[in-house]
Amino acid sequence: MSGTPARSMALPAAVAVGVLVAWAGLASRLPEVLLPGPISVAHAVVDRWELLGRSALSTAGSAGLGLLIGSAVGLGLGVGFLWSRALELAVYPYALLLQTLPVVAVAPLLVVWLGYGAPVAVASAALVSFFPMLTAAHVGLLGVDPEQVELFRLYGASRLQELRWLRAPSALPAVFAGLRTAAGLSVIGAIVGEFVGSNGEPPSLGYLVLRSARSADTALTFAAVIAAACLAGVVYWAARTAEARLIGPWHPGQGGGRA
Amino acid sequence: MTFSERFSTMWAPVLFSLAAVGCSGAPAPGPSAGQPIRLALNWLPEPEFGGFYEGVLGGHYERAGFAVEIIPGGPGAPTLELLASGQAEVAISAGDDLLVKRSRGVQALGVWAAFQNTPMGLMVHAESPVLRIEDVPAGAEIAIEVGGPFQTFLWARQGWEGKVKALPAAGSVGPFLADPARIQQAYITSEPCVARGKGAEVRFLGAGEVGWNPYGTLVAVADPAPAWTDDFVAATQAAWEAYMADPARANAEIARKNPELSAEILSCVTEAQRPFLVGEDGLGALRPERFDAMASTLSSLGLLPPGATGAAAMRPRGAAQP
Repeated sequence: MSGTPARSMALPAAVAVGVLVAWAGLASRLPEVLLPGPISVAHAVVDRWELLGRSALSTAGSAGLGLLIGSAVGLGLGVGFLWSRALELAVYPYALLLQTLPVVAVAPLLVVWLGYGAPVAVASAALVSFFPMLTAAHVGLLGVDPEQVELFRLYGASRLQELRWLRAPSALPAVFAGLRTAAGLSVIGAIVGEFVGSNGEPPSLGYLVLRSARSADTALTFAAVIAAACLAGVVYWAARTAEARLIGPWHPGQGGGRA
Repeated sequence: MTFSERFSTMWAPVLFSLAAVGCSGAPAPGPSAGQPIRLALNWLPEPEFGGFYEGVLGGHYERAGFAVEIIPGGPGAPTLELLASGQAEVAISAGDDLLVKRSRGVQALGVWAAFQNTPMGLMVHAESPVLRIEDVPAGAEIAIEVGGPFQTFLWARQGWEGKVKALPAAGSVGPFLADPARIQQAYITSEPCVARGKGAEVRFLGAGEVGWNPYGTLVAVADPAPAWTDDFVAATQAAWEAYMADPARANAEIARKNPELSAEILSCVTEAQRPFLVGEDGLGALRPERFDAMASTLSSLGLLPPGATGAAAMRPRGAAQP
């Protein structure tokens, strides 16, 4: 990380204070049903803590499981593309199409196939996190110094050995960049899935957003949105921490490369 | 430490706990013995389904030999599709939806309807000069489900094309409350009571008055109707009559299932929906002419093939088993 720890805390904190002040100022001019102020949102967070917590946990579970499935499929396919040009040619266009699939449009189908609630959210999170992971794996695994590949081949390394000792380690920075993107997206994906495919059992953040908006409980809507943002932050932080632990010491992308 | 060791020590606990959370949805309480019926609602638990909850809580279904499990729905709940795919024995739908889905190959029959008059309509502020839907002036804006059958119907029948602007409904009464001139699509079972709860005086203009009147909270079963249909319909009728006489028990259950509904909104909705439940024919009745009329309306809007009829989509009470 660049800068001192104090600076890396102070800068975001200053932005947070600025946003809160601007928010409170704007909210005081608008009716509460359009924009609740920070204090009424804080009240909603405190009063509805249990519901928010249960909902956030359920969404976190769906996002995490979706991210896991999407990443596994994305990485697996990335390796498949590396080993088989025919597979790449045959499947890559459809992987691209899958990326543009609007979950909202297929939600009723997902409900019929998988059932209400978490399964739709997991599927939706997997759909959105799959593509960044596939692209990252694809780019990372192919982007190896050709001379190193030649050296491995010269020593008669198997395809698996080449993957394990050369391509996978050198793909890690790209894969983690993909994971950071996919992690944030998986939370959005889960919430969209819950928004269109949930029946409130169990409650989730997407359901809370829908439900509270319909009963004009805007403070709770904002509380749910803030919980979603925190969740995305936690997931991102987890991905970032794993990245720093695994490749931080040797990869310049961790901040050491900044002049 | 090798890469794989590092990976598993760091990630395995996170992933396992996430997986555990994802799979920990509490199981619904199991139904008691009897003919098992999964009843799929087309919206979240609300008073518009009160009689079904009363049917379970008051033992109406159990006494008739049914073990009913109510499956709440949500936005776009594919209840008829759940019925068609064998994941529900009873689907709650609406008259127009049933006809359209039947034309697409879903084998379902309407057998009973709670709402004799559609709970759908438009909502205006009480001080608005718009007293009837016909009064909506040129240049007005209406927040509505754009492209939905009701919007298509209104614009075609009222000659609003190019005159009245359809705004996508945002699923919230917030913009309505903030703008006294605003007109919004609404269900008598929802938005008017939410708006009143926020201190607004509103007027509801029922869609039935301008000729859009599909049955609402329509009970659909597979086509051909299962042998238990008449018994189920009779138990449903008794349950809804009990609910209308005393909604307290079912509403308490609805409030438990859907904690976002305040007691105030619950009692407001329960009263507001009453006149829409009992129409000219009394609670629960279905008339073939109304299905035919709806089918011809849908045909004229291009939502059903020309010349479509609707009577075959319903089954008169007590009809002989096929």
